[in-house]
Amino acid sequence: MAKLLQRVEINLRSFYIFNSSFGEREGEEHKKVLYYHPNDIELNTKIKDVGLSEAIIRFTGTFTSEDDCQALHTQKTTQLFYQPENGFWLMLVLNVPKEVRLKEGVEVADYRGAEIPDRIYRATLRQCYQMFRFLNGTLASFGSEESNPDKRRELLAQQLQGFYEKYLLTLKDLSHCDIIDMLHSVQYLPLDKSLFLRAQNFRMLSETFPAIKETIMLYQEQILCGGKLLPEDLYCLHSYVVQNVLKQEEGSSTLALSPSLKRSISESQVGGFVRSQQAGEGDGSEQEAEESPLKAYVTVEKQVKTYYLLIYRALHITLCLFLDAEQPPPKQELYDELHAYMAPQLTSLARDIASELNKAAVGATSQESASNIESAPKYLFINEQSLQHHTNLARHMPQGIPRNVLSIISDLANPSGESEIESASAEELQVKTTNDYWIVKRRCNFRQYYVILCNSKSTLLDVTQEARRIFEQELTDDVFFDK
Amino acid sequence: MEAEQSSISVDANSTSEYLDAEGDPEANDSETHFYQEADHDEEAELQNHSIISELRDGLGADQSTALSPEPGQTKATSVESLALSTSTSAKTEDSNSGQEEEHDYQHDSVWRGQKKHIFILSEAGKPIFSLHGNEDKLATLFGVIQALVSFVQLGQDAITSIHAAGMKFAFMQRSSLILVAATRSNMSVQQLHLQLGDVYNQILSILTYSHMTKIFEKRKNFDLRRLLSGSERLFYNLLANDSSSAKVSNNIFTFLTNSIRVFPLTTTIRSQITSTIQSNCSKIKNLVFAVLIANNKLIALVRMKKYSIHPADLRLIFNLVECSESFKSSENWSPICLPKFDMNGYLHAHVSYLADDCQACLLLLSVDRDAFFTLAEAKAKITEKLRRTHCLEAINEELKQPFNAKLYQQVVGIPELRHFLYKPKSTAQLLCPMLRHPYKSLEELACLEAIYCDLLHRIHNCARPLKLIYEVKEREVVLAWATGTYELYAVFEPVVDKATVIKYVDKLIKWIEKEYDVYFIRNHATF
Repeated sequence: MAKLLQRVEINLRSFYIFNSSFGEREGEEHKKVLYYHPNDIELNTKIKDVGLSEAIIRFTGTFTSEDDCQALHTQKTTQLFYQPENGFWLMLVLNVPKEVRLKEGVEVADYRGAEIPDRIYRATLRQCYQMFRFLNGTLASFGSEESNPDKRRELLAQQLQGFYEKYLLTLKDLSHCDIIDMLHSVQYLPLDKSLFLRAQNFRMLSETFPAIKETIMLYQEQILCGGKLLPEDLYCLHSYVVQNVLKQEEGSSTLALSPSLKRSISESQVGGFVRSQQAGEGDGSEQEAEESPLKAYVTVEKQVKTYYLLIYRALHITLCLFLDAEQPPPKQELYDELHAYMAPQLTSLARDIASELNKAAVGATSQESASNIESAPKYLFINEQSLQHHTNLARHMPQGIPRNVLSIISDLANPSGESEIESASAEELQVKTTNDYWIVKRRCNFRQYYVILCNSKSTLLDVTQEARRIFEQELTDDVFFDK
Repeated sequence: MEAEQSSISVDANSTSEYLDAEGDPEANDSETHFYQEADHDEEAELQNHSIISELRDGLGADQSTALSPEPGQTKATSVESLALSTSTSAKTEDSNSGQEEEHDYQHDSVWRGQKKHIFILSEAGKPIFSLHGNEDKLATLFGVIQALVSFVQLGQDAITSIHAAGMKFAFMQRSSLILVAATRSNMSVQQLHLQLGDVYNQILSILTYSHMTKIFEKRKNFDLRRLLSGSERLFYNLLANDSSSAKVSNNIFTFLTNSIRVFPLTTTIRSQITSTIQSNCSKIKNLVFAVLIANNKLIALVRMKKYSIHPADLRLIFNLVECSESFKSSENWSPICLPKFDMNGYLHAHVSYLADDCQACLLLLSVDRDAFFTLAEAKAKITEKLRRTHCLEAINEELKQPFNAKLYQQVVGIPELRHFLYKPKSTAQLLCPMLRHPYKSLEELACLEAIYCDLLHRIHNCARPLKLIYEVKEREVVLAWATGTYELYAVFEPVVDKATVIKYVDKLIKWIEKEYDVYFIRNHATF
């Protein structure tokens, strides 16, 4: 029938932040726009976009609360709204997937707005805010030492510019976002008891060094112990570490000369502190020893507190230390002391974990054969309260689960933050898609379990049996799911 | 009063009702003539696609005018038949609001908190309709809507929906009209668009597409209410099909599945009725459809060979019959446009109930506007024959004691089945049981509706459709199943286990297939 000529996937059209209270007077509308990407758009267009968003917000306010406007769908775009703090709105505007078909000799564009699962991208938007807040504090309190409101606005705009310019580059390809991106959960690394206890021991550092308030440990990209951080902050920390520390080191070939790292990392037998690169400067020379380390803003007991974030690496372990920022920044002596104290134990722990994992990997590959992998049932467990997940979905493989199945799962999922009154406390669900995938979902006690099977001949009962088998088999790790 | 009436008494009857109705008897204002015969003919000829004009051409020069009512009075009859508001209950919110001057809807929490709002305005921002509240007072809101829509249009784009705190807004633009639905219920945006489409079709049904576009071409800010005045009850009834109105009824299900319900009758009776209609109408040249309805269900449909009637059009016909009390007491002759059949022309319908003692309504739709007396005759003969063959009795019996009241627990033997919807893929017809406990109260109906909206939305999702959904919830077990031949949506008690559900479903399907011809019409007969 109509031949498909071209398909353009979902992509980012613009991202902007505005606050209406900044530009209430005539002629000052441009002040409402705190940040706009792409930056090279004409100012008038920016103001018009902000104006439309404000109008939509007010329109919804006629019928319901103004504070929770969520999305505007037009034929060609999807615009997502998020108000993290009173008056500050973040907007993410996406171009919907477009298919150009040839119908009777004419090229017709078909906009497939319905393919976009809103929730996933709202979560992306939320994370944009969370990352900024993690590293810079809340928007409202930024630049609070400056008394002139105009100047404060200037500072905030500059900071937003600097932060988002880099951050937006690191956004994951939007057409491949799925449920795990939506829930912002992290995968913990399951360890056997003794190793686990040794890892937990590092939390005792705060006894010896009272300045340290919190410790988080990661092995490669997975968390070993999460401390008492709230799940959102943990996720931010995790993505920060993955983006800025681990990815950096992969990119840099000559480690010693890289300005962002003071010491060479995983290859060296001696661990070391990582100095983060502050916005735009640094030549990494010794004189920077006095510079203040990175600050992180973390919510503790419903209040935002500032901590210094020190990152220490040994082999594949990354240890994040949070120091109270009320105190003056730590001096070189503290670094040396910590280094001397931790280095040997941390390095040996890292080695042991590595060998443990190697053994497990060798054992596993002998059992699985490549041909089974596609048809083997996939599962996904999510603990909503601690935002941990556990899965064998191969997320980065292009031949993995088809897109529609992943989107359906995200439709079915209960997003974190959904009020308890709305969502049922217990439910079970089986769903069969048009391409013969079965998805079984069970939810109870704030844990969601999904099993994905692909078998066109199964009946409902077969699928239930299979799912039950997998639940029982994989759920033994539950001890790591409890915080 | 006998259903058979002479031409004079028809006129007298209609005129007297006409005078009883509110408003001026002789509306001489040239702009309110929405039934302009001369123009209409020209238009019909101009449209190449007008099916009605094709049929008319087939008529030839044989136009019997001798027995028809005078053109002037035809107009009067037609105006009146649509303008009758038997009850102005539609405007209760309006009258409740007390003083007419400045009702501030922004701060009226009752208005704001309504479950569903529907707004219709012209592209120029002129208010046309609002489900709740007086549309005049909402002029600012309409202005805002119009501004939003046109602003987005400037960017070569169009608003489709807005989502906010528990509410969904759906926008639709059709030929110089902007339609907006705002709802707190579970209806998906797709379903809301379907509802707006229905409302739009209702407007077309009164005015025809060509007439409306011509008006708006001439004057962009024409106030369409002038042409629609008196037909508000049609809109209110059309939109009262879900739990946001205070009615507990099955109408929501037909709307959601885009189908109609069939009056259960044995095959013999139904074929008897169909053949009666066929034999009495086959000689009438320009009769396109004959529709027999009772209690919002279809008894029989006979059609001209090449043409079929779309379920959306049938819904409009059901809607018209359901809210026009006047049809019960007299024969009526009114123009009606069926948008999906031909949106540019009017069909003329002879509408009447079969007999005083039989509440089945027969509509004979013809392209010939002078065919009133021929059709009246045909109808009389049909009633006569149906009475003789005891079909009327059968219909009455079914109306009094619905066949499927206690059916599902006793006959089919599935006590845990609370409710279901069954729709065969090959026809747009629906089978659903009567609402019984626990779904007799409004809240429970709202829950049930939410369940079905959700299931239907997921199964028919245009981006990610599904074949089967089986969900165990706290208060019920729901199953939705779309196979190649049918769709089934069922709600069970929460304590049933999976194997039992499957057994029950099998049983139900078998039973339905056995009784298929009682509840479904496989093929509509033709003239």
